Amino acid sequence: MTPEDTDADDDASVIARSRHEPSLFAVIFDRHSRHIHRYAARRLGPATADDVLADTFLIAFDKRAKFDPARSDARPWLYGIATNLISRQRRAEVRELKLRLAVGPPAADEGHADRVADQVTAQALATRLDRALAALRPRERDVLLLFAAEGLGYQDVAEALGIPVGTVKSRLNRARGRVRAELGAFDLVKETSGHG
Amino acid sequence: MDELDLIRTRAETVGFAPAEHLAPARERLLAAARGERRHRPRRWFWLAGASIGLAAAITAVVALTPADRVGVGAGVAHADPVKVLTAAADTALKEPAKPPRPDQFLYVKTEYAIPPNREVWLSVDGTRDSLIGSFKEGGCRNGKAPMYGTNDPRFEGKFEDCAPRRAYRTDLPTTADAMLAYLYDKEEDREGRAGYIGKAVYTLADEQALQPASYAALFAAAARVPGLTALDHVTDGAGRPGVGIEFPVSPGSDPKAKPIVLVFDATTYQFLGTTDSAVTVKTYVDEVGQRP
Repeated sequence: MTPEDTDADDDASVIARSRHEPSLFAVIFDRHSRHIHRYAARRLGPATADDVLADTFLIAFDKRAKFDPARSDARPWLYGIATNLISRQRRAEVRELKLRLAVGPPAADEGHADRVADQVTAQALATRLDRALAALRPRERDVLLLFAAEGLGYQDVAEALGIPVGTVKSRLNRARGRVRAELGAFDLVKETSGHG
Repeated sequence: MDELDLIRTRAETVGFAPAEHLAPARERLLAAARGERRHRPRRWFWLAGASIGLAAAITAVVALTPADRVGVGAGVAHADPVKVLTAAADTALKEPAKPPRPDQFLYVKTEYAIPPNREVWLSVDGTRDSLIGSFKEGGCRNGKAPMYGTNDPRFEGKFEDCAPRRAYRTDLPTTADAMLAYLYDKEEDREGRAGYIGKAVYTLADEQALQPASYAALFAAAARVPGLTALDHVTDGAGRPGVGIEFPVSPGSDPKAKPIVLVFDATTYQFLGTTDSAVTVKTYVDEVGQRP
């Protein structure tokens, strides 16, 4: 049995087989490691992300017998393990948000009359967003970033964090409200119209 | 565009790492799958730092003055980062050493060029609950710390394994050489790591309390980092004027990333903050939430 034979199998069946053929778990790594590493890098910076990635998969490997065979996609489960590891690094995450010197949205088209002014605004907006994220309750930040930055749906976020979907929605609403209040000085629609 | 679009756009500035960058983690997984004994995971160095493994930038080598020379005096040429940092080390060494009581808290107020500001109350000995903004962080007693703000309410107030995080650090090196080794964290390849060191220096200088000898060693170690630039006439996050020390951006960072610039008072060489943040209050208080 080689990893090539697993192409057509969903995560649940690969994980089930890996209980007897441990090296097959590398297939799960190859399917999802880029996303988990990127998630950790976005939250903690690249150096710490390497450790989060390695530890996430070691923990997942140890717990593979407990993976729910009804779930075809392991990514939410892996996001949940990574989030738990990240939550132990809260001080580091907030520091990263504070130190992440503004990298604004992509530049407007060449020839845009107010491009320089737009860039200045975009940088200020990006910095303010980071400050707003740093000031959130950690569990609200978890939900907001999984949903908005990582693109998980309500159900996947609920699965990742082990909480009901209703709780995901209420935390997301609270987090969005807080971020909007922090960004209040900016008219988002007006300020970002040039950036599509 | 709403705040969700903004978060997504901001996140997209960090893309996928190349596969070879993920190879060590894959190797560790395969070693575990083969049933091999695990290396103990590397000590978490809780600074998010620079990307490594990319072509190192060629940095100009600065002629170094002995960093343990004290008594620089008033004639410091601002254009020289080594002299500014050496003077900052000298200033730090002269600060009165008044150790706090273990049961106190380090209170730090940071003001930003772009709000909101930040206040923290960190347990001096790491055994009491700290307050970061308005969020509690469990203190570590007998190897166990209560968890607050958990995703799953069933874990709220339950205990997890921990090591105390002391806000008052007596464990740090007191010489420039040893401090530099500590900052690089066993990293052999030191090329292009200036941005990482800039963050590490800032981290120790802002919300932690060091003994004067360690504080001096911190700036003396920074003086040995190649590629730094001194900037006359900068302001910190609260608008206080000073002289800036710029740590170049690490190779592999986002092309639009800006270098970190530490700001020192131009007369006393006291550490003030960065060009977008300012440590405006730093003292010990008896209770969480108390302001001097």
